[in-house]
Amino acid sequence: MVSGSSVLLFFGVVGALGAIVSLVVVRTQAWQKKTFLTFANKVTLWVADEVISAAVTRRLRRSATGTAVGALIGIGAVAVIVVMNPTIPWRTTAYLLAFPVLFIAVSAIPVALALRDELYVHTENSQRVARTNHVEVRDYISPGRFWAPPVLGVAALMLVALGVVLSASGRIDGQRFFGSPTVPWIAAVLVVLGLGWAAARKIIRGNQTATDGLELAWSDAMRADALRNLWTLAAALAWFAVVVAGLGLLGALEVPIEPLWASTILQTSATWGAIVISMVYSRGSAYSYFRYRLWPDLGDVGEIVEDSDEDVDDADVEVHRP
Amino acid sequence: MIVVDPRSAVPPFEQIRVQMVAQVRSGELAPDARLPTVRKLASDLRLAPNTVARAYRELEQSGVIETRGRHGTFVTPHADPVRRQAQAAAESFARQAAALNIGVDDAVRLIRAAFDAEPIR
Repeated sequence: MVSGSSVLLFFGVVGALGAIVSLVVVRTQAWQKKTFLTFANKVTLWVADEVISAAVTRRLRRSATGTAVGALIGIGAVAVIVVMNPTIPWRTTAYLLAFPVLFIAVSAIPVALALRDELYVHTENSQRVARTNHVEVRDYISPGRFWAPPVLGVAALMLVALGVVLSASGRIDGQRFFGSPTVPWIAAVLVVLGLGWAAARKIIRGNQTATDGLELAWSDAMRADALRNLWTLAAALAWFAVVVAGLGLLGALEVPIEPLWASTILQTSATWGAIVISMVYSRGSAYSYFRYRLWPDLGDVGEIVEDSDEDVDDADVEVHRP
Repeated sequence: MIVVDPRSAVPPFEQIRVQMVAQVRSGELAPDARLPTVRKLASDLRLAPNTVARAYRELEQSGVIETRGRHGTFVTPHADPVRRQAQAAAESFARQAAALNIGVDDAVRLIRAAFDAEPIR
């Protein structure tokens, strides 16, 4: 019988090895070219030139490096905490510590890059363009994806409020409920969500220097990607908050009715919820929503080169600038 | 989208002003559309905030845009500059006609006669 802590250790080692391997792989030309083309397809921008492809490839490489470094830091942080507190049950470690810490760690560096990095380097005399309409976070994230984290956060808060009401009416053990990690954990999640919202506003207010519309469109693509990362993190943490609040309520029941059964369902749903969230924020219009909002017609910045089945593998990004 | 050419003989604030007026007239910037802040537009165009502020000030004076306190700067609901000038001329004429005790019907007849006597287009 394999113990839970062994499983956790196994995944930690595999994750760390994966991160180290990806640190090496991102430096190869093949990976960089493939990643750029994949990203171009996801954001539905099939037009670029050397300046844009070099800038975007550099950012994607740095972002992937940041993700791998973040994963290593996250795994290291979890390992240190587990070593210092060897009595923590492995399930608690996995759901309350490992997942959130890893999610935060892998998102933090790419978001910091989006906040600090200038995508393009221009000469003093080069032409400059800017959009004349005000944009918001909602121009980059579709409504459903935008509202998912706050809705889940409110659901978690309502579960906490339910816990307060039930403990006041004596239905659950208040001491056990407030002694569980629920309340501090949800408070920490709310702080992270607040910081995420502040970071999103900073990204939106940040510089977007470009010499033409196409450069600006690609800059929007990178911005949308950074915001998508932030919202994935926010949705995952808010979902974990709902699960933690539910587990706190179940753990504080005075008369436990199949508590193990219910807890198992909640713990399993934490994992499945995280998988569903990562799919929702990486498929469909997750990458390309900004194109429909901000660039519905790219005719003024270049001809869109339609993708075709036969040249997907060996197609280089076309240069079709006006 | 606005384009600023630093090598142009036209000063940057004028480039911004002219393009914004053109965008409002063409409908690219819709009535009530919110504009970026002075600081944001200046940083995107790599210009001094004062340059953008001057363009905004002149656009505001000519009634193309309006500042709504902390909510930001917006395209005036009826921001077509030509239409605004025509409206101002009509208001001026209406004031003068009222001062001369000329009624609405007579005033409209005078305008129609003026159009017939001197076709504009």
